[in-house]
Amino acid sequence: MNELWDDLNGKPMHDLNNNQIGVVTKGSLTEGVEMKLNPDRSVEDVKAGKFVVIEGYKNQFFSMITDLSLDATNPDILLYPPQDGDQLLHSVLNGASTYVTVALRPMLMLEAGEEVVDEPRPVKTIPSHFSKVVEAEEEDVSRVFGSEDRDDRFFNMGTPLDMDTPVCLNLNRFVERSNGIFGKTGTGKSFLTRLVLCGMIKKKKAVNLIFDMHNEYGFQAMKEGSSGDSFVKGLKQLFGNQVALFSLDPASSRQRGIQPDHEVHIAYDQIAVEDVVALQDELQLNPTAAESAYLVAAMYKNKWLRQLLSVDGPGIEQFAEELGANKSSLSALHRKLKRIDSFPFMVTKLEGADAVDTMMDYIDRGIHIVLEFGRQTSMLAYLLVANILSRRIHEQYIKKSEKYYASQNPADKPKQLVITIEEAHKFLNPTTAKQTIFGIIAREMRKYYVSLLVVDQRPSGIDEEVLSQLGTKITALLNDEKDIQGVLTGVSNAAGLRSVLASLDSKQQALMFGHAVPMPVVIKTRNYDEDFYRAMGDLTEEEKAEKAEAASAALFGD
Amino acid sequence: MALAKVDTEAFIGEVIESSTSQFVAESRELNGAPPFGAFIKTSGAIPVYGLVFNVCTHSIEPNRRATAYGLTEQELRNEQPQIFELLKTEFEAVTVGYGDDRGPRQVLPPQPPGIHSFVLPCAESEIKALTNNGDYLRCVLSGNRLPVDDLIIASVRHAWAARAFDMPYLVGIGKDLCRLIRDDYDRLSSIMRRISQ
Amino acid sequence: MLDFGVLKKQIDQMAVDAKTMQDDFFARIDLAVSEMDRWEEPWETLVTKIRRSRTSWLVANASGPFTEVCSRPERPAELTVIAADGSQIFPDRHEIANCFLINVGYVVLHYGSGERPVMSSEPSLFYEEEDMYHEWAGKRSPVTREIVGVKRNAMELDKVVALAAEAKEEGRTVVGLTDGTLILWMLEGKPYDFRRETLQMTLSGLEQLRELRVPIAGYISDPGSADVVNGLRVGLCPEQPPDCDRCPWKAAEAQALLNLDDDAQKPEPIPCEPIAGVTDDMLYVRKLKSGERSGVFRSSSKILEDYGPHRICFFYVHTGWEVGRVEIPEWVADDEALLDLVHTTIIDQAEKGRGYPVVLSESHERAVVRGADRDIFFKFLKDSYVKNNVKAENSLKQLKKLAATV
Ligand SMILES: Nc1ncnc2c1ncn2[C@@H]1O[C@H](COP(=O)(O)OP(=O)(O)OP(=O)(O)O)[C@@H](O)[C@H]1O
Ligand SMILES: [Mg+2]
Repeated sequence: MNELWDDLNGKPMHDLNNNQIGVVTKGSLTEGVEMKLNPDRSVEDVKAGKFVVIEGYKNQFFSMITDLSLDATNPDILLYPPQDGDQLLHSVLNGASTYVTVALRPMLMLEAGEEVVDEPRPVKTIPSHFSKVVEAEEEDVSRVFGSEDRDDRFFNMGTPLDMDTPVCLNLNRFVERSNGIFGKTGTGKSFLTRLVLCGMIKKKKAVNLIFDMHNEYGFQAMKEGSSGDSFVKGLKQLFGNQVALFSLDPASSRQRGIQPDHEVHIAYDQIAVEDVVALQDELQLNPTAAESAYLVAAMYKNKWLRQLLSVDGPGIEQFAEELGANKSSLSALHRKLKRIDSFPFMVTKLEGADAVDTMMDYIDRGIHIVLEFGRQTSMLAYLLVANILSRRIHEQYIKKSEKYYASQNPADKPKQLVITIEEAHKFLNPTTAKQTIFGIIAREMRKYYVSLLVVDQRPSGIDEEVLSQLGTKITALLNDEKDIQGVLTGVSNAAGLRSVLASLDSKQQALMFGHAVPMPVVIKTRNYDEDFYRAMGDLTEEEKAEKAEAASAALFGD
Repeated sequence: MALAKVDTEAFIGEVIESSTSQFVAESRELNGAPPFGAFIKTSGAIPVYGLVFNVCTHSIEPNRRATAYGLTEQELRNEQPQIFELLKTEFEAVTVGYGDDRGPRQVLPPQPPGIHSFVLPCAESEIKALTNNGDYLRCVLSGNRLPVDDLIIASVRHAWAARAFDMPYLVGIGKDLCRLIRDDYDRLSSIMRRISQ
Repeated sequence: MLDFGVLKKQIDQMAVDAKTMQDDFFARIDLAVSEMDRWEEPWETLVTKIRRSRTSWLVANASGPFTEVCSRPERPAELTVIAADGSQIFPDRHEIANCFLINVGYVVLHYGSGERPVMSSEPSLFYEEEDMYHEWAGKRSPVTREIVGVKRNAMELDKVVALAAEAKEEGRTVVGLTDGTLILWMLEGKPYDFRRETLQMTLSGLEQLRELRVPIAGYISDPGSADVVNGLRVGLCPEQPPDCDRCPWKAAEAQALLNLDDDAQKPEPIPCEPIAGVTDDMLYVRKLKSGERSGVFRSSSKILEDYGPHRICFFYVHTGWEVGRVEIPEWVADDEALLDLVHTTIIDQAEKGRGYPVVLSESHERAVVRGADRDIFFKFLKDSYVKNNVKAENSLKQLKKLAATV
């Protein structure tokens, strides 16, 4: 008897509806749709996050599997489960008396033949009873998510679970808003970010300014792997002189064999009070300390920081008295800002051009900027520098924009700028987000042609308002309930996505949703590898050699 | 006798009692009835398909009973040959369908089989057509005075054998059965166990 | 009301009388047995005496001692036993049409080979003028039950002959059996032409069997015959030769009855009287053990004078259940092999049939026309008449019967 089973195990029994996975049995617009899994399908082959299509009477409902549950019609079966080895009974019960219910969330509804337009129609109805649920086909994916061949606004981000067709991000829509990339540590945020950046660079959708705290975007970055660690190429390697490398710590860059295009120095006078206020959390300053800073600035204008730091130990009480500031908070402010003195990139007086001017120059030329921090990996340095530079570049952008609004001359139109920041919650936590430049940029949308790409492992630490302003979110696995909730802020019917999010693989899987995709989708992130480099226009060593040869041949005409 | 179109060689019995839902046939040979649970059909313009649910052998005459002789079958055949002529084998079938130009249908026939029509075993293709799903089991489940569970077991085994003991088929029938007996789990597991033994 | 007081005395007396009679009877049987033994040695004397005698009863005669007993011979492993039996629906003037029916049941049992037996019946309907009326001795008369019976016997024999011929053709060892006597004693005193016609039918059947060398035997269960005892009675008679018509003792008895004189001397008892009333089976139950047969006797039936080579002889067998009488034609009796075959077949058959030859009971079962069958027969008849628009002619009596039921 048991031989007979060997053939059967694991194989579908009736190959009639080969891609049908179930039929709709229940549903509501608010709760989503339930389907009974076809008995020939093993529940273990159906995964949360899977992209499926419900074939309604008039509409196709592109949906995501959000939950799975085991059910039985007769409680006796659960009291006396079939004996181990009674595969016949097991198979008989499977699908009839014991069955699997799959919760689906229709995400997008298309009438037969209808194409996805930029603003997809929300799902306004549900499929009728017993509508077939089928695995999405390759053309369904491209119909919904577009394809790179069709249009240059689409950028391949990966594939749906168990499928090979690319899921694309609509970059035109992506750059219209600020966006977020989330995931707990080690899940591939940086890889995702690199992907997205490559997309924007390759398709020339925006100019990027990347605050590269961990030195992983410009030049090569580490890739953990089962067979030891290796390195992957950075943006500079892929895009050459379309990318400019700025460094706060040129010594460190050189040590890694990188010649930065520019060194960045910051003069004390360039630090505004807002820049310090933005550090409130990091420096654990209380509100009165910030007030004291304003008092100092009111008195000494842009020399305020130099003035404050020049005062020494006991002199501070007197200084406070002069200003009419709270002594203890001013001394705390003094003590904490004193750390800035130790940053090697701080200079009293700039020699050469102002970094911001250089950056603006590059930006105007459409050249992307990666700012490496080298060994200056302290959060304080990172926050300080990112704030100062961003604030100042933003100011410039405001001017440019206003000029453009006034002249309405297309030549005056500023280039769309995307600023990438890691550890975003440090800039955008609820206490500082109201005041910092990044909070402002996030909230003002793209009025001044600047938007953010926030990368963070603790989205719950980011101000809710900012989170809800993010147009597109790409999130890898998150475990913390608060983080999941944070990411899903502002998403309708978040319940289904919650379980999907929590069940992602810990690497190279992500849930994308929001402005730049017609519907939420789980992807296996595109491999960041040789194939990818080539797609970005990079050549292998041999090809480079070949090309050089061809070039010289052309030159010398042999 | 004119036995047009009937393969008189192949017949195994003759209908001697007939109604819409059941019929009785006398076996051509003593002890030569089709096995319990076998699929049979009657000859005639509208073949009627049935499932053998009872086989009995008894004295031809109501007032003569068989008595014990204490001999083996061969000894009896040699020395008491007449007794085998005094016995007859009859079998009863529950109707599970009839045939029309499209082949077997799982519906009761418009007319019961004619008395004296011949009974033949069903061809494998007919068994398959009659048992392509569990609907035929309804006739068994709703019939009166039938040994329901055992009949299900025996007939499913025949249907299964017609499909070279194909496991997925058995699983499909099991599912239909499960529905028909309204999730009676205990009964289902007992039936399925006995079918596959 | 029964007066049980009076009745009781009468019942008691009856029982006493029955007992006396029984005791007397056992004494008679004892006497018959000892008479038989007495003639063991001088059997030739008895046989000669019997041949010379003129009796009013049938007397067996033998060509050996009356005490002869033969044990059961072995049965051939393969053997075919054939029998036919008939039954009939007699002509009924009250029924719709004048006719009669004979149903011949027949059985062929093959032993030792496992072959299927033949067990069937064959009905024949008689309705034609020549069947329904006969003219014998210049007198035309409608068919009688007796004539139907005679016809039936002939058909039975014919059937046996036909089946025997077939079996013999197939190279089988065959024995034919019929139920009852082979002696057509009731033909005695019948019109000559009827007698001749009937005899001819029977004898031609027997002749064919003789040619086939198929032994035929009639088996009579519970025989009331006393042919052998009558032989012993001849032995008891002091007259030389005995002649019942001139029996002095009987004459004296008759005289005594006429003399109504009470004082008159009681007449001497008739010498053969002490064993009268004893039948042969009573005698042989004492003499035979199970499976054994008696010697072969010749019957003294008058009709047998016309049987030629088919003169009927008989013997008694003890089947284990009873003593039965077996009648066989002379050519069987004279052929030791055929005689042994009949003997062993009868015993074997009776054992198989638990006292009665199974081939006979089965052919009877085939033949029998039961009441229900009879009713169906007449219904068919009537339906057929109606369908064919034949005027039904129920008798007035029958019509009255019908009316009474309304
Ligand atoms: N698209 C991809 N292609 C190839 N490898 C990937 C990809 N995505 C993730 N990985 C693998 O996952 C590992 C971790 O990725 P990554 O460094 O981007 O994680 P992270 O979320 O940025 O972590 P941290 O929070 O520490 O910065 C990589 O070293 C690499 O092995
Ligand atoms: Mg990272």
